[in-house]
Amino acid sequence: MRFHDAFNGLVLLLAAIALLVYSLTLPAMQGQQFGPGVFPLMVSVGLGACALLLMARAVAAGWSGPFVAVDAGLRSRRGLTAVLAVVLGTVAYLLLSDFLGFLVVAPLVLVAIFRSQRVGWPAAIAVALLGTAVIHFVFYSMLRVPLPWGLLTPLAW
Amino acid sequence: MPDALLTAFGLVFDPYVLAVIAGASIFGLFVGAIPGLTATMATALLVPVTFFMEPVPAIAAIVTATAMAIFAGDIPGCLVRMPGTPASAAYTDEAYAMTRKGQAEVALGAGLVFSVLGGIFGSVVLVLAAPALAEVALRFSSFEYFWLVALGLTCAVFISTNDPLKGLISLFLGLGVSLAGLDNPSGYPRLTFGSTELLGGVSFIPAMIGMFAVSEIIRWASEPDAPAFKVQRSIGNVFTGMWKMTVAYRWPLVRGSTVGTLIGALPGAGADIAAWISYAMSKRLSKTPEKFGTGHPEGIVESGASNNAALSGAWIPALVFGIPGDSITAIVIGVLYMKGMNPGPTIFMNNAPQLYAVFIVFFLANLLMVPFGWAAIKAAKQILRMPRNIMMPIILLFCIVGAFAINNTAAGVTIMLVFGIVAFLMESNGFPVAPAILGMVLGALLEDTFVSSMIKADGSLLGFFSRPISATLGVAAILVWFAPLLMRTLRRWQAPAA
Amino acid sequence: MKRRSLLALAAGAALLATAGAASAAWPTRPITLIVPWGAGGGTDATARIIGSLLERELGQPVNVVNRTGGSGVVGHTAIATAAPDGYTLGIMTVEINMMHWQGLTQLTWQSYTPVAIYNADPAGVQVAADAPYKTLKDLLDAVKANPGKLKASGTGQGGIWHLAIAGMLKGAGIDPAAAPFVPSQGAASGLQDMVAGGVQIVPCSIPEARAMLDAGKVRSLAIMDGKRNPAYPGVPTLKEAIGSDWTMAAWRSVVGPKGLPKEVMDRLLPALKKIHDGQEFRDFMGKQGFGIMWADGAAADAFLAKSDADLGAVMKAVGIAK
Repeated sequence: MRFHDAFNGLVLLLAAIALLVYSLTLPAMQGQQFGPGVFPLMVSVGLGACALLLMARAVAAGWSGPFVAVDAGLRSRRGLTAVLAVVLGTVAYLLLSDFLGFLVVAPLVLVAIFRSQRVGWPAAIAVALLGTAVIHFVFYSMLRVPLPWGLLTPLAW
Repeated sequence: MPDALLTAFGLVFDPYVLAVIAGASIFGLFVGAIPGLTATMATALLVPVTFFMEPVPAIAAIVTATAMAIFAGDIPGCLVRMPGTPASAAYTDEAYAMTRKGQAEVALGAGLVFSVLGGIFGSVVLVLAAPALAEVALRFSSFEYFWLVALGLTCAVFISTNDPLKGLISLFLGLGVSLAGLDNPSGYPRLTFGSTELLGGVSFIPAMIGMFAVSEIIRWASEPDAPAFKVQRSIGNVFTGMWKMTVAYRWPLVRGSTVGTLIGALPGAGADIAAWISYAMSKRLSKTPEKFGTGHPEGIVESGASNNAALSGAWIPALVFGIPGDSITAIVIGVLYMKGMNPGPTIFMNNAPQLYAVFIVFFLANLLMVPFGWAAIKAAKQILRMPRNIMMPIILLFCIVGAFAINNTAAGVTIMLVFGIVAFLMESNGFPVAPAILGMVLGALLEDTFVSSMIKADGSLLGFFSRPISATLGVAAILVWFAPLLMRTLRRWQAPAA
Repeated sequence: MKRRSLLALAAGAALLATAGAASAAWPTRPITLIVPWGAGGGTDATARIIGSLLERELGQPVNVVNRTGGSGVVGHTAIATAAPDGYTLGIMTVEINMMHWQGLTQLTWQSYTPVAIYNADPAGVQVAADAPYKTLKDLLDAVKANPGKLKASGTGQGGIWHLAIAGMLKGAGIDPAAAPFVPSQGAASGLQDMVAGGVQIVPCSIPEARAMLDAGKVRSLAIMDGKRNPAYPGVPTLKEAIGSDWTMAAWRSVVGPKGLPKEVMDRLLPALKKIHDGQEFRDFMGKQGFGIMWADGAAADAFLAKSDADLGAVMKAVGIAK
């Protein structure tokens, strides 16, 4: 998804202004000359200046080009489904992993993404289960990362 | 001295110690290749194990594992744009571009060979010049660091090939992200939006995984009709052509190793910063800077050597003054005390045999990297043969678990996803992501050194020029910033006259 | 139909989970030990040795997990909000008695079940070896003569060593602002900055300054403790140096979330005591230079309450407390 640089510049400028206003609201620190707002102020000024330059450059180059251009892949149903599967799969993992546990959620997410890529059911399920098992073994058993057990807590090893 | 050296060889070439080194090699390769697990984590995981060992195998395990981990971080960075450790982030895009051109073997071979050479260079310096260099490193206060960080940030403009303005914007975005949290000089919670997790700031490693790997996965998903990668049939082996490359890039190699060792020796700056500075320097001084970013090994040679050299360099202040050169040696110092090898100038007298044994391990670990690294590359290369629609989802799961592992919190996964989407949008709009990552790495350091220098100088900017090293660095930084401008003005000025 | 059976399965599993937790004797599965500070720091080092010894005592893996950031707030919050089932324990550090005064969190030490305080490291007063001050009195006279000229560092703004020097100055009748505090990432970077000539005083603990002391780069003028450190018998206490009663130490304690069941405590406390008295723990702490202390039950509560009140008073005096 490609936006016109004048628009990109405007969004960045607004972000810089918001940061500038925020940095001015930060209090001075007792006993210190330089409070928490000093550095954010410097960053916001730098970002704002660059954003203005970007807008000026885009305007100077003429208003050519569309305001927003969506890539062909994202306009196709297949591409959009695939992107949504990746993003929503990760969101689903975030929301469900603590409750259901890694060993339940991870294969489900994998199967969903495999299906969006038109991997056949048997292969999708087999690879999802195998991949989950390997990752769980590597991270949980070997590297002691406390992956959530969720519902499977009584079976935890 | 000869006696101590002989004893040292005896200490290292003992079946048990050699077995520990072999085990630590595999462990280090493994941890380094997995995103979210850094060389520092490898060290921390080793501490309870080393507690029950003799001093030499204990230190040997750490030296070997970290050296392997820093190299291994290159492997997933090159193959799937998922840097295994932050030290590989500087040249991940370059290596990945080579993979897309079907030159994965060359990129990985260069990463391996020049990691080894850089590591050996750093070890030689450590053995020969540790006490002298440590004295120099101790002269650096916040004023000097400020200029060093400022020079590091300049890299952002050098590494953004097509559009320096967008590179600069990306850098400022990274600096903006680094503002969040409580860990600023005032200890005041900033931009936390009431979240406890954000009090700790935006966790850097999940953000990095998001910006490199997840954005790549989203792009892959959005291009269902993109052609598969070219996988070149084996061109002999990983080491083919490396000798030619060593000769061709001998100066970048020496430069990268030197810069890496020196930056490593400075407390507070480690392998990650060394790699960035070396990559930018390589491009700046190259005869063919236009090839950078298109899959050109020169930058990989210089920064690959640099980050492994930094690893050895960090031991210099750690051994001589007990001041950690990076987060790895911070842990090592504790282990040294535990083993009765108290850091300090006296370590060279009191513990000479053990110390020489540690030095021998440095060389041994770097040499062992050749066979172990070769095997790791050979194994890892297979993933390029996997169909992408099977490989990419599995990599996503790796990313999720890696982002979780760094702090063991789901917040890491959220950060990873958000930064993945943002990076996807940034790259589609021509904003390079590498400068943003650099901004996140250096933002806190820049603020710390700036604010504490200003406090020390009672608010006077002159403080930044009042010490000899700081003044030199300051003048150098200003020259680097304004040189292009000055040249242009001069040229314009001369043109009408001519 | 399919969905309903899945739900039923989930409910059944959930039931099983609660039943499982109640029956068997603790611990039946791995324990997580949360450290609010980064890998490689002092807290992490002590937690890892306790973790590996506890693993041997209890016969279940003990995973040390770093939850860093926010000057300890993030990790302390994670410990307090975990389920009090004995499977999540943590290391609580002195900062718990500081951050609520700053308004950073609602948590206090009473939000936890203290198991035992196992370590305390008193603050020292360090200057560079080439500095002209031979005694603490010399140093304080210099601070008084030129307010604002000598700067101190060694931790973040409002950190434990910042309070240590502020309280010492206040006790000696000097305005704490006479020695402005330069925030640093920690004792090591503060010490290095002092040796490089950036600051003049670093009031960190002796173990943190040990390598620099031994290397002859740094001199310790006094420690803020009731008695001298056996490893550095030449360094006087604050009382001996300037007659002040001020003491300050950073301590660490094993804790669980509030409401840790009695059966967990009955198994955990003796195990911890056994570790604490064992040679391995003593060797480790001694070699690293960490100070050993032990307080459990009522003694721990009294210690924590006093620490909380003392720190609150200094923070108000320095103007950091809200």
